[in-house]
Amino acid sequence: MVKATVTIKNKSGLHARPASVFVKETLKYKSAINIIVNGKEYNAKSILGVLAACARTGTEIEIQCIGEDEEAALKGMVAAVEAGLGEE
Amino acid sequence: MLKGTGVSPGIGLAPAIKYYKQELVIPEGPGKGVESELAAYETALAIIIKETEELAQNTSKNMGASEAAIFDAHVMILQDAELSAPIFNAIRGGDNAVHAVCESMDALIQFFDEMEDSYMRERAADIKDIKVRLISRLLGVEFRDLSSLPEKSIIVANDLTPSDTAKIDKTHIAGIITEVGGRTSHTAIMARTMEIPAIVGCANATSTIEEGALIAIDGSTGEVFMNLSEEEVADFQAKIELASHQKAALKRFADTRSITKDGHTVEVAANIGTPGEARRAAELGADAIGLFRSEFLYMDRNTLPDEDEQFFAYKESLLAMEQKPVIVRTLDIGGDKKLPALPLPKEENPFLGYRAIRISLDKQDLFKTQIRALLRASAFGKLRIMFPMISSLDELRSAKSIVNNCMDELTSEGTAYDKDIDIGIMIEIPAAALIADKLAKECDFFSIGTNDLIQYTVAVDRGNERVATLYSQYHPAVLKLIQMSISAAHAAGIPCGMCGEAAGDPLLMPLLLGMGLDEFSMSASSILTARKLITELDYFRCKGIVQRILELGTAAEVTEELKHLKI
Repeated sequence: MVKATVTIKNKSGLHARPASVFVKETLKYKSAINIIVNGKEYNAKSILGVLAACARTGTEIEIQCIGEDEEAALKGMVAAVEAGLGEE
Repeated sequence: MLKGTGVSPGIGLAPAIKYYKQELVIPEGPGKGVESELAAYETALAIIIKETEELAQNTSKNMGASEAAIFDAHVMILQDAELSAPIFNAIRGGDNAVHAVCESMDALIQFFDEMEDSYMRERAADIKDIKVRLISRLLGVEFRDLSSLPEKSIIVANDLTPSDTAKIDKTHIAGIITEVGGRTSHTAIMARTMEIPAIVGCANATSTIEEGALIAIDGSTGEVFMNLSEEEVADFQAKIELASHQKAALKRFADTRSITKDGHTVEVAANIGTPGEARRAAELGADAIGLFRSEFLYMDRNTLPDEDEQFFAYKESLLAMEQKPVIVRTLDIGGDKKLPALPLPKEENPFLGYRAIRISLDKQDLFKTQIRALLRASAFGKLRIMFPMISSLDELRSAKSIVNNCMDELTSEGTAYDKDIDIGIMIEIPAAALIADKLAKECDFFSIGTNDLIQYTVAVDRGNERVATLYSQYHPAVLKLIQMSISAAHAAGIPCGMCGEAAGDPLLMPLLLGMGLDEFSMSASSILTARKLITELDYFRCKGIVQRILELGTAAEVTEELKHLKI
């Protein structure tokens, strides 16, 4: 398993469009991907899971990837969050 | 005869078709066994996903991307493994599919409902919508399919949801009647966008109107006609035919300029409430959006739209208008317009109370969210910001200083916006018209809101039938205030438009043109008629009638004079 901690930068946090951009990114990889927000674990490949995590802007989230393409998955996910998930 | 609120003009004549939701009864117990219940759920899920994808595509095509976004979200939720996993588990544990869906989705609804975040609470409504559709499919409850109704029908329903109206095929629907809703309800907006005659708030429609009976509706007056005689049927048919001929003849005016016989150019613009309506206005050749009623983005919902949501709606409208001006009026609520997301205390005199810019200047967080969204959108076209209900210079200055603060914020964040954005005001309070010369020096344009200007000038609530006859756009006092506003604007070198209903009144058009009005903004359906009239008028001659009409003493004299103009 590989993991990294990132801060949600985009304005509306993991809401609406950014949440769906986030989930669509996870679906590009075979690895299982979870996020840890405020000590709780959520399935990052599930829109319901990501919405339930309710991560606002400024929140630190840990991304965990487990599977054959875990390195690529982690790199991709961190890059997507840093790029603002389609938002500013 | 039944009567409701006419919200989308036009005559409809067709058999009535009732559309109602059935009571859903949830069975208990194991059903037909694990394998067949699992299969039933999977089949229902696949069908609903496919239906929702089609809905998203149709909505995007017919109404615009932002209206379709909700159905894209529904598809993602339906495809989510976390939605189905507990349902599969329950069925494997011996539950029937319907009960499993119901229990599991109710738990989800409750989970989102209890979240602190208001945006998340709205997701509960999405999941409810999905639940009802899945269960109806599983139970085989026949929802009358709005997408495949018999040739020409008038839908009669208690209410229609967004997913109902998105399915409507406008070529098959001659009209819509609902028992609930007002001018700003979802059904009303969609009906106007699709140009289907519609009446909302028509009490007892579903119990009074007989299934299959030939009925006629007038979407302007809100009247429903039943038990039609042969003559009445012929009469309505003639009206419908005439309207369609007139519409065809007007089509060529969608591509012409709004220019008088003697070469004076004005703008014929549209009043809208949603990005979808902007597209419709663009198709009809509107020279501009003269009034985007931004409060529509805030209505019929339990949460306030955030900055991004507003930004996307404004941007989409600007892109639809392709560099033509789009004037967005900042939030105008209070008076008769209420927001579930922003409850306001009841007032003795709501029209003289806490409304429009007065709320924005008081609740500055709310205002700043909107201004930031507007400024960000201004990078994508010719956006103009307009403040409603300005009665003094102080209000204009305060509102402008908030805009300046937001500009500074965006500059320091490095976000693009139009630094030369035009800021204007509505002239809809007599006080504003009387100090128009002073206001004109501190803003970039005026737009006269006649609906409120008339009611405040003659002190008449036009919704009150006992005094409604006193409400008139031909009242000499109203005309004088209009002329003062236009002259003051021109003296300061800024343009003056009009976005009240009077702007689309053919009788008043020669006078307004003669006074020098620069922009006429009206409902999209009036644009072509108005432009045709402009091209038939002579600006120089119109100027010549102004003084004579302003000398008249009564509204009746003004009307009489305007009816017999020889220009």
